[in-house]
Amino acid sequence: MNKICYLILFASILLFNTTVLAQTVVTGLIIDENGMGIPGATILEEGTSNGSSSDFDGNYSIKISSKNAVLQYSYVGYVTQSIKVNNKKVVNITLFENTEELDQVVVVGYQSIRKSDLTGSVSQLNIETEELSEIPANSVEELLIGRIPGLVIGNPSDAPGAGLTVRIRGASSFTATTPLIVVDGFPLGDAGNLQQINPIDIVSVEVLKDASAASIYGSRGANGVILITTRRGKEGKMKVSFSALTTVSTFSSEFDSFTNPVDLAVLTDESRVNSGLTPIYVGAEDVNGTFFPSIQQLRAGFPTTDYIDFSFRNPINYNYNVSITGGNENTKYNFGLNFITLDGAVTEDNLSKTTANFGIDQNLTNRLSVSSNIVFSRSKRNDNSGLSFNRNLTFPIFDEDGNFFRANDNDFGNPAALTALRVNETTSLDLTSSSILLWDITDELQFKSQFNYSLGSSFQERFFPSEFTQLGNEGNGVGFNDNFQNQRVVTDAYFTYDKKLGDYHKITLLGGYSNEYFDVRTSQLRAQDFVNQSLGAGNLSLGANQRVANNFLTTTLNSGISRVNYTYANKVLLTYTGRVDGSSNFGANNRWAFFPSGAISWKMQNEGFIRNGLPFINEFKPRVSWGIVGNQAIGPFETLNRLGEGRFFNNGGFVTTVGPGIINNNGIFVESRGLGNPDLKWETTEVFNVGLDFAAFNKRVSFNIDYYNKITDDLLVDSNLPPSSGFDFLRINAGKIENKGIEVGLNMDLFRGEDFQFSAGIIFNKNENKVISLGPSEFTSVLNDEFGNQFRFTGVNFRDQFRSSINTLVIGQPINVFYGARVRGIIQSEAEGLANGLTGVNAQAGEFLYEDLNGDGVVEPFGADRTVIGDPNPDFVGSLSLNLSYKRWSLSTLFNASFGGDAVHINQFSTQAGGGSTSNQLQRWTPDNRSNEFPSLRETRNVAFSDWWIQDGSFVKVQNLRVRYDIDTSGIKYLAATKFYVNVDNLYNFTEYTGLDPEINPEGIDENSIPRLRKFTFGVEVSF
Amino acid sequence: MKNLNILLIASLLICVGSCSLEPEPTTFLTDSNFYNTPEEANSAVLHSYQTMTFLDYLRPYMNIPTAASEETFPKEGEGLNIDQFEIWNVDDRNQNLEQFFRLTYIGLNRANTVIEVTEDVDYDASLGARYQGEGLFLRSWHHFMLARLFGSFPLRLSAVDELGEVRGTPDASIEEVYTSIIADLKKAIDLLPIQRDGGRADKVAAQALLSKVYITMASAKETGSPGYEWVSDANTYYTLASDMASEVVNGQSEYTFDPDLLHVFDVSEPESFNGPEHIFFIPQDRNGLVEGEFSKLSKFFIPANAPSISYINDPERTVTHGGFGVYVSETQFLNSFETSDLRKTTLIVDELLDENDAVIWTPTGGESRPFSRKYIDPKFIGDNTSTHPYLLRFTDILLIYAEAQGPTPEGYAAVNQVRERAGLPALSDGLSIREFRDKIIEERSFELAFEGNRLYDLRRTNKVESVLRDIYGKNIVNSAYFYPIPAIERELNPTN
Repeated sequence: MNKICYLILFASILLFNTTVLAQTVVTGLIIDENGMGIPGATILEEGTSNGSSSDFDGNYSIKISSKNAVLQYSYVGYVTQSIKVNNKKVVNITLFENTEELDQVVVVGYQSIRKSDLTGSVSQLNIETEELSEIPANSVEELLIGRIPGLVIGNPSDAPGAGLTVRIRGASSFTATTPLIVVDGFPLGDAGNLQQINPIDIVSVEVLKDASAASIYGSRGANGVILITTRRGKEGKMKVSFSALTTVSTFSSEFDSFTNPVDLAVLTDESRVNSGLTPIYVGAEDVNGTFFPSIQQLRAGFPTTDYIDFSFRNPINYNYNVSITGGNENTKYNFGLNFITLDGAVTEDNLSKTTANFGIDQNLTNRLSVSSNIVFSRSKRNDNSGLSFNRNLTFPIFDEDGNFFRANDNDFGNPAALTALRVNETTSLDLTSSSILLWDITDELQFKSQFNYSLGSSFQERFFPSEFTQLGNEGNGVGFNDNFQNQRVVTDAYFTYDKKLGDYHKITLLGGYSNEYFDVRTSQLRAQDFVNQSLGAGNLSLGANQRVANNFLTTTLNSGISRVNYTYANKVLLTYTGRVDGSSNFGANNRWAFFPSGAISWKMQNEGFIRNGLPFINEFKPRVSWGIVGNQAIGPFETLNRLGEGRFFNNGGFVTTVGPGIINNNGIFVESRGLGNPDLKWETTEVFNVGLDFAAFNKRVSFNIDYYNKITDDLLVDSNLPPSSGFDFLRINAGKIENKGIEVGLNMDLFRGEDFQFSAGIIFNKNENKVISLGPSEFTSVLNDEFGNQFRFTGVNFRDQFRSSINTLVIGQPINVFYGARVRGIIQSEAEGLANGLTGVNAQAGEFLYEDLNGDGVVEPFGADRTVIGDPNPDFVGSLSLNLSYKRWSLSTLFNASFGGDAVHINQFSTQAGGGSTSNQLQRWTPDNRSNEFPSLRETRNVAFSDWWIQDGSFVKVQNLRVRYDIDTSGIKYLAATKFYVNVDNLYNFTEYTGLDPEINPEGIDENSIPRLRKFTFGVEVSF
Repeated sequence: MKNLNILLIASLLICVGSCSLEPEPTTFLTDSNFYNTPEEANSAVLHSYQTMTFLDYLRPYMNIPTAASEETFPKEGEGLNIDQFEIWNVDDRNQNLEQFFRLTYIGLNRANTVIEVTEDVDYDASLGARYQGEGLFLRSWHHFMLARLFGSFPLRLSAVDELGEVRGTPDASIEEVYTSIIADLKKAIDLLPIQRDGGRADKVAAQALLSKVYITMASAKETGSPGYEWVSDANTYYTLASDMASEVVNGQSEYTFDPDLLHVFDVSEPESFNGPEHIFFIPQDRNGLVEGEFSKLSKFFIPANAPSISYINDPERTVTHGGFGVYVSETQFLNSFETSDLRKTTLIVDELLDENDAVIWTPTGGESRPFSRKYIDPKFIGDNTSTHPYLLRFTDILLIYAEAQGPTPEGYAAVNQVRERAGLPALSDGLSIREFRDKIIEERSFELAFEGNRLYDLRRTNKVESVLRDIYGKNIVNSAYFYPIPAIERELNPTN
């Protein structure tokens, strides 16, 4: 064998030497579609080791061994071509860009363009879309956490069907910060809880971030746009796939509440005695008729109930999926069926959903095609949330007679009674459909019309029996039937014109209009005082007292859309985009608005100096864009003076009353609205963006980096009106906010072997948010404090615990900063308290040592001694995804991180026992335990909001970890692919935060007392 | 292909029909298309009354004077916002004050709207006059409540229907406030008929309220109560008060003294709670669907350890539900009643019976104490009752008449009528005018106990310290005569 090798080697050397004179040289020029020479292209003679490469201008020369040799021309990003020399001395060749594999098509709104032709800031998933369906999720958005640069998603709740908070590039509004979500060209509304789409059907997800990208959605583009494209049928053999997932959830941490009744009793009595009240755990009934055992009785083994065990379970959820695609040259179809359960951790808190979708694409002629898509889903929810799992554990579930136990006549908290007797069921039906007509009028001119319709409806039945529920007790049984229906009709029609002008110029024009109509109808039937409650809300006429209420709102948006793309020599790209929007939500003076944008980018990799000088670079494309986008986040009719209705008992019956003031109950008190503002106008956001798209080493390393600066003016805010006006809120345009930041998405193929591959993706988002103005002070109630802060409470998140709001808007500070007092520790002696300016009970040992911030000698933690004490906005967020595969095994993991955001840990402590973290209460200040960390227990303490409640909410979360095995099906007839996988969601949290989970709402307020779930999923997917 | 062309054209035209952007209100009435008919105006008038059925109005209406006076103390754990009144240390963030202030202005805006839309009507002018009179009455009611709570505050004399009107109204002086109230009530008296209508205000209500306004000014001036130094002369206003109260007491027969003490507080039927005494009240009914439409006021007085069903030891064996016991009677106050006073022996409950007449509840001390039965609805449905605050009652005005008259035969006759119904002997003759008036104030504390009246009597007669501090031992830290205007108003309307 060795001999043979030597022989061949020797022979070839000989041959090489001897054929020098006999060799043929072929020369030529390699150009691209635009006639530009391609430097650094590779030329190989097939079947030999002869090779060469092109020079700076694309010229090459190669020596070949035979006049009939076949030459192979290749260049990264271009389609490889092979050409027979056929005796020619000169072979010129044009290489075409490979648009299919290396250069994906990107959906940008009303149009798709090649990814390399992007001028705006558009980012995509850094995970294969097939993998999305391997992760269990409440909604599509949950799957996108940490997957797309610039898309920041928070998941503050595990409740079935709960939504998420979605933000792109920070909060650019005080009221509406959620991006628009568009599925297959159909704008469905705010992102956060997309339930209609089955993740397995998602083909691509694009996020439009800058104005150039988003201004095609005009008045809804200010918060960015998420575009989702779903699967369509393909020409070829019918493909059937089936998948099944089973998810088991467990709590990821322990509850922090009382397990020992003696602790509960001792702490309760201590808190009362410290407040000058008498102990209640004395083995007698208190004033409400509730029996509390004595501490001796408890020590002797008083029976207790584990309400946590009763209230929660480890839910097991299922997800089954069938999809069928196929078609021929003229007809393509796709069909999908999905059944999923999303049961929650609370006993009998259930949700299940069935989704069916069907799509068809039909060519009518060779220039005309239609396609249609319909998605139908039905869900059923049994809501049993809100059980009081922290109920006093000395209360039994049943009394001696076997009836549900009530501690006293006004006790409506027995979770067993509520689970058994309360009814709260919702059935929802959703229909989403699109019909598209595509007409290639000429090769260059295309007309597209899309008609979208969605219908959402739900029916909710609730019944509160007269025993064991508060409402039912008030009304002798209260039943509700609630109906909800919304419709959205969106019609688009537009032309696109694609034209090459000469060798260097290419232009694409888009123009058309869009019309959107949206309405919501609600109605409620209510009855109470039931003669018989056995039918619940099934027959409301059994209630003696009945009432109806309904509501109907409509909104219309008329728009004109336009876009121009111009390309010079495949090097320089210019884009103009504009949208004119007219909304019925605004007054006649400000009804119409125009949202223009422009962008330029330069494909430097197509310039000779990079091609030749830095041939390892595949893409080097700087981009700059500027533009204006808007926000129309107001309800209809806010420009008009609206009247409210009421009911009043007059002469033996209730009559309807009408007059100024629309009164809503916010749960704490009633609020009055209804004063119209005819000058309302759009929020406008001006966005400047610079970015760079880079790829090198055969695109094994690629990154996109963007810097942006967004300034939003004329912010729509709820102005707080002085009570003496008779109104509490009025929507006005006031204020200005800035968001600037950097986004980086980096993808690396670190190792690419035949058996072993290793890749990593990093996403880094840094956003700096700053309130620039709060508008004219006479309308926005801007306050000034002694520390130079000009601020306004946001009006939301009023905390009874502190008798104040927590979040404020402060000029020069990020949105929603915390405003309150500062605490230096715990007072250790009354003398210390008095010396520090505190008085009365607040100066006693064991109290909070509030700081006298303004140094006036009087401590006013509710008043002047308050300032900005924290910022819920993270300094940066990011993610790291790692994918490892070896032969048929693959392992992937996602780390999601947030750094520098503050969190208010509401449950850190409660000044009375029960409520708040028990482990912290056990460390309370007592004369024997002179804690400087936790105050004493004192039930009647008037607690001021302070930095004591604020912690660093930074975290790194192992969001998920997946192991997959793909079975080799090559030898199995009929079976195309099979895979098994195991996924763990919310595997581990690296954090210093002492609450249950620092992943909370963007306002930074953590009220959670139920631990988060950890989900284990087992899945199988088979396709035929 | 022809069909396809039609399809194309259809798809192009599909939207054109639905493109109007003019908002057409689908669920809201707007002020441009309302108030034109008497029915519409009437619903606006009732809407003004309806403000007072919101819990944010009703709760503070009872909480503030009931906790601040010597009548009750709040049950433990009811929170700072009510405790502050009990301990007389009230801050400008107090939610009872803030909510009452807010709701009062919502009511003022509704009343002002009524006044404006009934100025010049093209329907039956007498209806327009009546509605306008009711609007004026309600405006003065709200201003008078604010005057007694806060003294000086922004006076609202026109409806807020434009952005420019929401801010910038400065505080009016107390003098300006009273001048405005008197003018409004005089006009209301001219416009209103005498017409009993389920709690709605009529001419008699306006006269009754005006007599209270005058007696407040007169007694405050006479006793040197802070804030009323500007009143020209006490006697002039006593005379005005007497004349106006006389219109109520002697000048009409629609509202009369109810000789049956228990019947006064009978809310079992709309007819009974419309009884002869009740000039103006907030009607609530047990068949309402939300609290406010119905009332839980009964449960605020009934102690929390009372049985869920029991019977009061009266001839009727009136049935009642259990309670929350929020307002706990002060024992010292209960002891200040004469032992034979029927207002104590029949209107204060100290035992409850079961259906067999066996005693099943007596006060166990602490927060379980005898309680007022002025708010008992034997036809309760669950927690829901028709009990309600009594805003203006004939006996209140009768005692004002006596107080204004002084120790005249008419004055003695009036107070003795009240004492007689309570089973008490006539007031001794020969009292000085000062002694007589002090006796009347005392009589009012028994007669109008637990009706949200005492605080204002103490304030207008400069007795907050001499009674609450010196007799009841309360430490008056602040706000003896006026509470602070809520901080939210000061922050949002920094005109002052």
